[in-house]
Amino acid sequence: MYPQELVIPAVAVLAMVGLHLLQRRTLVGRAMQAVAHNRQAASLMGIDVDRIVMFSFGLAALLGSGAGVLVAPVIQASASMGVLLGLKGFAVAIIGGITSGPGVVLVGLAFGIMEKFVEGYISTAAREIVGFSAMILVLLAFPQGLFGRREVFKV
Amino acid sequence: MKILHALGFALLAAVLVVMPLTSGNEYELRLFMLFLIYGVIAVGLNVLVGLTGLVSLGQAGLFALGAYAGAILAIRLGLDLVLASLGAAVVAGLFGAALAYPSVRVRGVYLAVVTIAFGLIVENVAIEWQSLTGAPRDSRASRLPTFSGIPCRATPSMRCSPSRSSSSRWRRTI
Repeated sequence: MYPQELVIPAVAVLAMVGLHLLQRRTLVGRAMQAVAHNRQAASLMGIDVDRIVMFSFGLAALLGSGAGVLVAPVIQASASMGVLLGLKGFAVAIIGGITSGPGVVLVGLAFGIMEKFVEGYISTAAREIVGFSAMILVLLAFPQGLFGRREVFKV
Repeated sequence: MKILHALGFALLAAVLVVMPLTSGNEYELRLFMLFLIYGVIAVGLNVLVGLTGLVSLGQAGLFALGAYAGAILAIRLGLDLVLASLGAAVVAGLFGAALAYPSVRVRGVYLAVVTIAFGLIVENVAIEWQSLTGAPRDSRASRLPTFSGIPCRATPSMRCSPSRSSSSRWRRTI
């Protein structure tokens, strides 16, 4: 156990709470939600859509690089280290239901614990097999993810 | 447009005839075969992405499934290469059909992730199930595959020919 491993959950909780507050309490957070919901209507309401998109990308990059800084001392750093991690993040988001923040966090925890058990009792290659198969099976049963809401499309 | 299609196919046929006759060495032939093989993958991808609009990033997984199925059928079960290829196509097709069930229920980026995940699953199963697939990147075979009854020789390009002296250039392309 290294000290920086203790920083990871602290930063994770901080980032989650911060994001939640940003989305609910600030103007820019609400503008982001508006743009995500309907670009055209948002721009008609006086929101600078390009600027909000730019801000979102910047925020995503900030969070991504922050995660990279935290994870690099724990696993080995390499040029392609992000591919599998990013994909797993996506798998977790899909299982949890991408619209539900708490659901994704919960599933992420469960996914990680399951991975470690599979890794310990079977093998590292089986970890990937079980994890991604679980994602496909969940999608078969719950196309919206475990905690996601059904998307409503208006035509 | 129809004339262009016919012209294209005629050109391809001409290239297919001329290439084995004029290639100077096995490296050129091998390159040409790889080009054709990847062309087949591109055609498969075109069916999905081009004709139906389903973005599949797991085509490599199906490619690997077909390759492994063909090799296992030809080497372990001693099937003829033609039969083994057909069997490989059937196996990969069945897996593709099975993959369709979870894929058609989701769309957009979810679909892309499902197909990537499928590719990763195939890769890791191939690594893990060594009693079936052999070690990864292990090309040694206990038995040589046959093409219409003629055993292939274990050259880098695995040509099938009765003997070295009578090997025709046609046979070499196989």
